[in-house]
Amino acid sequence: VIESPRHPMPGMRVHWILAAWIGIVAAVALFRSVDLLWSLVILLIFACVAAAVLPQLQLLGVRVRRLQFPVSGVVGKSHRVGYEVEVASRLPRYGLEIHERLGDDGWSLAAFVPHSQGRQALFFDWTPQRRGCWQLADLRLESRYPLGVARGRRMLDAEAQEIVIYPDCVPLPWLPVHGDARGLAEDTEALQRGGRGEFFALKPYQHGDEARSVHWRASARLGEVVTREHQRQEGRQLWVVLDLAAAAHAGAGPNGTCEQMIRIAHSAIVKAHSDGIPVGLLYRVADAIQRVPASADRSTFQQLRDTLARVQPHAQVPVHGWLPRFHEQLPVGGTWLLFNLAGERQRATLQAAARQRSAIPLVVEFDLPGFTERRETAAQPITLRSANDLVSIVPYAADVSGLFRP
Amino acid sequence: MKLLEAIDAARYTPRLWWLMLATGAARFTTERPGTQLIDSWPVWLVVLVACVPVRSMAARGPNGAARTQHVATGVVVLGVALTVVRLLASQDWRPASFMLLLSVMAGTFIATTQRLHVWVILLTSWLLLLLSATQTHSPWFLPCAACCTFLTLSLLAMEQRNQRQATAALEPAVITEHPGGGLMFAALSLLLAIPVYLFVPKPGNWLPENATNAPEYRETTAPAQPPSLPDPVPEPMLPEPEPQQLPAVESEPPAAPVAEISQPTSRIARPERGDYGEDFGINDIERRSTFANSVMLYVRSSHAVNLRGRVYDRFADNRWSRTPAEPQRLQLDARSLLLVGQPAGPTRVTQAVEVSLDLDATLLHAPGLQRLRFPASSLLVHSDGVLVADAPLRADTLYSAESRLALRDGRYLLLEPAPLGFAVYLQLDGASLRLRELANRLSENASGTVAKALALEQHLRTSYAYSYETIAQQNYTPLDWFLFESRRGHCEFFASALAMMLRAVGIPSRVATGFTLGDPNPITGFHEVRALDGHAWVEAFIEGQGWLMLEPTPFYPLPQPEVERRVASQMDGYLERLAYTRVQLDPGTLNTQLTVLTRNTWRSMRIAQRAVTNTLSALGWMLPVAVIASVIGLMALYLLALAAWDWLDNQQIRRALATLPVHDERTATLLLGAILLKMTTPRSSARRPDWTLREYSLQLPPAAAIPEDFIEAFEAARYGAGDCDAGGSIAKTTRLALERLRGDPLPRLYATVTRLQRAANRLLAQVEDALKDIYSVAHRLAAIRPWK
Repeated sequence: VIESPRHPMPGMRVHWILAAWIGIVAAVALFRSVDLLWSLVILLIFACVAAAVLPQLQLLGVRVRRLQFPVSGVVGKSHRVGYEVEVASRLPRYGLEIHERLGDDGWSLAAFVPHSQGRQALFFDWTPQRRGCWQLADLRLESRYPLGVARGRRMLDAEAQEIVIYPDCVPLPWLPVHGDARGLAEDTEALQRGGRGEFFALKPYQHGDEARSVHWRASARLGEVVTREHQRQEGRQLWVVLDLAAAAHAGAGPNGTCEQMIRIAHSAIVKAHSDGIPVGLLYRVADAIQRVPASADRSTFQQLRDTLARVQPHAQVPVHGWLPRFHEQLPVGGTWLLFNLAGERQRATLQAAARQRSAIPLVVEFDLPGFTERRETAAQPITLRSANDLVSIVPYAADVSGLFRP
Repeated sequence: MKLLEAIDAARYTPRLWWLMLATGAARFTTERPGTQLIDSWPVWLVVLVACVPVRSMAARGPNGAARTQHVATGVVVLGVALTVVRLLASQDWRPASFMLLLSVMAGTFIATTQRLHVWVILLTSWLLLLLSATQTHSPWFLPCAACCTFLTLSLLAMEQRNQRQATAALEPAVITEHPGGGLMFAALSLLLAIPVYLFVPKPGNWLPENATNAPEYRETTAPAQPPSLPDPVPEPMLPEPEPQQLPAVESEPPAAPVAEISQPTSRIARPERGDYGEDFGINDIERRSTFANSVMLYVRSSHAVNLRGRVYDRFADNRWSRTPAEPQRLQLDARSLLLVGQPAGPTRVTQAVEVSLDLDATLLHAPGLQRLRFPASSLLVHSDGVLVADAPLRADTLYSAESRLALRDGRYLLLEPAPLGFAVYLQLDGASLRLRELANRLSENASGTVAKALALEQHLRTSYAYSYETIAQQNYTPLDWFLFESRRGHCEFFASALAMMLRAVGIPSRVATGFTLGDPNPITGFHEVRALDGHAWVEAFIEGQGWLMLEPTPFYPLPQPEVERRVASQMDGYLERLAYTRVQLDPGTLNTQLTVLTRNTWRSMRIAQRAVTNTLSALGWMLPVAVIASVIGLMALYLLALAAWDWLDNQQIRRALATLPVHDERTATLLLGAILLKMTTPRSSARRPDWTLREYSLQLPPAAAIPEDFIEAFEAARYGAGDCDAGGSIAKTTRLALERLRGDPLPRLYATVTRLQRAANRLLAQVEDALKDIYSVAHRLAAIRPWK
């Protein structure tokens, strides 16, 4: 759904006001025998008739096609969209609306076409408000001119197109990802110093690798760019575990816990990818564990982003309910980014499940009462509990860029 | 609904200001002659117009917003104060409420910053409109109300557009407002509404039988001195002399030409005030034409029954008078008078009368009064049913009357027992022997009182002409001169002649005077009774029944059993009468010329409309067949025209191709280019003026594209570089053009037929979908078995 600001008078309906006015005038005209008001009633009734006929006339001889539409986008960023409108007949047009399937629940109003004649290219800015993947096919042309009491509608053939809207991403300055539970303390210290551990092997360069890790001599010898892989990095993996239980989440829309979770996961994935850390994704759909294998390559990164754009919460068991039960299917080692939407006992369950697989749990929790009540507390920081027991608590409408900061 | 939301006042201000002015104009149409200065329209027009500069001046400088609020509050407080003053002065709530609403509207407009203010202005406008509609008599109210309606709709539409705009996903979502949009909507609305308004009968009064819809009457202070009314004055008017109606009665002398008669005693009869005094002479007329067209009464009447004022029973020395009798004083109960014990006819006539000019004290109403609401505590009632107030009727007096009549042989019958002084209604002092002979001769073949009365009435209606000129010779009494010499005259002559002829054959009769209602104003529905509508007619007593109202004057119509409620029909009579009156009274003025022009235009439109209606009604059940046949015929004609157009084009192209100047390659190439363009346009799409031949070819589908080598040759010929006929492109392209002509000889016809076919397919698909839906619903309904 494209979320738009609510109109200050959403309850106002022109047809109810018109009907009431016609009724009052007709009653006075009939019961007081006022011929002038009878004339007014006839005028009002036929104004309504004209308002019902004109939308149909407006749509005659109009053709619309997409000139420009992005194949992907990011929530909150502006994209250029273009339509070509051709009006064949001479009847003037005043209120054409183009509708697109830009939401999960059907058609939504995309754009108004100003008064036009002949062929006209119109460009608009589109700022998606919600992630998702939508199939654009036919266009729908509507008109509510002049009063909005009636609507004319026509379907127009258009080329099918898929559009993916990725969740927005916040740059994270710091991501505490370690090889496993044993080296947590020394890794943390070494990473804070900027060190990278013992040399382990060479590997082909991948997009996102640091420039300083390029082994120039080996690259010259082999004829391709290779980079050093350090021992500490070898065991470093980030696994993002999503909780898609609809009942567990609080709040709705872009500021709910679900979208905040997706935003944090996306930010962490982008950060890990830019640091060359392999990232994987775990979530549960329909009693089956879905897993995107951890890797630092670009195709995995793309797959992760696509998945984050598409996943939706639905009725199922929360993550603390299924994670311990499926431990055999879970990866070993690495750092797990876990989202706890329940209490401390559930957090302990998640942490235990991670440690059982020799992984470091990195738990993110939400200030659930704040999300439920939409209580915006200015400048409330995200808190990190301790170095060995990494738990971040995110308040409502918090700036996620402060996450995981030691 | 967030009514306190701040709005962009600049977008609303022009519409709100025009709405205020239109509402003000609608209210101004209700103004009465006695309006005081503080609620007169010039004062309030200035107030409404001044709102915009006052608002902009108040908003200037620091604290502009607060100052604007103070000014707005001041305007409202001043309006409330004036309202209280007005209420105390006259105790009439209507002008006071107008002032209150107008001041609230003006104050709110000055303060407009929130949506609430817009709605307050809309509501006050609607209230003012409703109040004005119940007060006004002016047809100008209608255009004002239409303007208000469209401005209100425009505001509602703007709100709706804002609402839509907020939900648009793409930006900029600004909807460009174009004035043509509103005009197109208004024009279409009017185009649809006007035929219905003209030809669909207006509804009657929906109130139940014993309820009253009379206006609340207003008590007025009686003047110290009764207004001086001119002496007996008859009325008069209109119709042109109708010499063709005069029968060729050989025994009587022909009508003398008016121009040849010049008697010093004769006076020119002109329309004058319709009040009759205690007595009147049948050729008493005064000439004050400026007064004659003034509206004296506005009457809303359920039936077009004359308003009767006085009744005269004695005729002597060519003057009518009434037998002196002591009137009875009746007390009104809460300004209401109910006459019990009176015989009542089945036809209920309700009349609401508003006096527009000062009149004498006699009440005007339909005879057979049953109930009266009048702003007085008592009234004098004469034995013949005439009601007289204690003081003259002043302008702005409102009263209502309900009468009961019966219809007998197409005439209204006033049910009454036999009067006491019966002999006076048979008095024949002023009647000549010739008059008695004529009356006896005309009624000798009729049997019964009613038949005799109707025969005499019919004779006068068909054998004499109406004229407002009265010229009598000294050797004749005026009645004899009218009956046997001039054979034309005004209504006093007709009424007097009939009354005397009735008495001559033994039927008691009397002359009644008052006003005729004529046709109502078709827009307002009010009968506008003018001074020149003063009228005299005859009441004949029918034994055992009552007084039969006879109309001997041919100009005035007989009672219509059905009240005409179609605006178009009302307009016919109203415009005819108005135009004729104006021509008689003020010939040559611009107003008269415009009225005549309007009448003539309307008459022409009606002739055309009747021709169409008659043709349609003559078709009867064949109408649908004729419509379908016409549509098919028109479609066939259209297709035939397209085919002919295509064929002519092809002929031209073939001729041009055959006569290409092949020896002049450049000219031939250019000509061939023009031919190709002419061929391609109906077969695919038109070339835009800014496209070159190459660009145009790129826009065409591949099958219709112009060959590349010809384009190069054309460019060489056109722009002067290269070979104009490289590789024999002229010959090749000519062949191609001929092939295309053969392949698609009728492109326009083909395209139109294809379009029609697609439209028919779409329609069939929609019908199929609808049938499927109906089937699905029926299937579901059939699956519901509530008895199980």
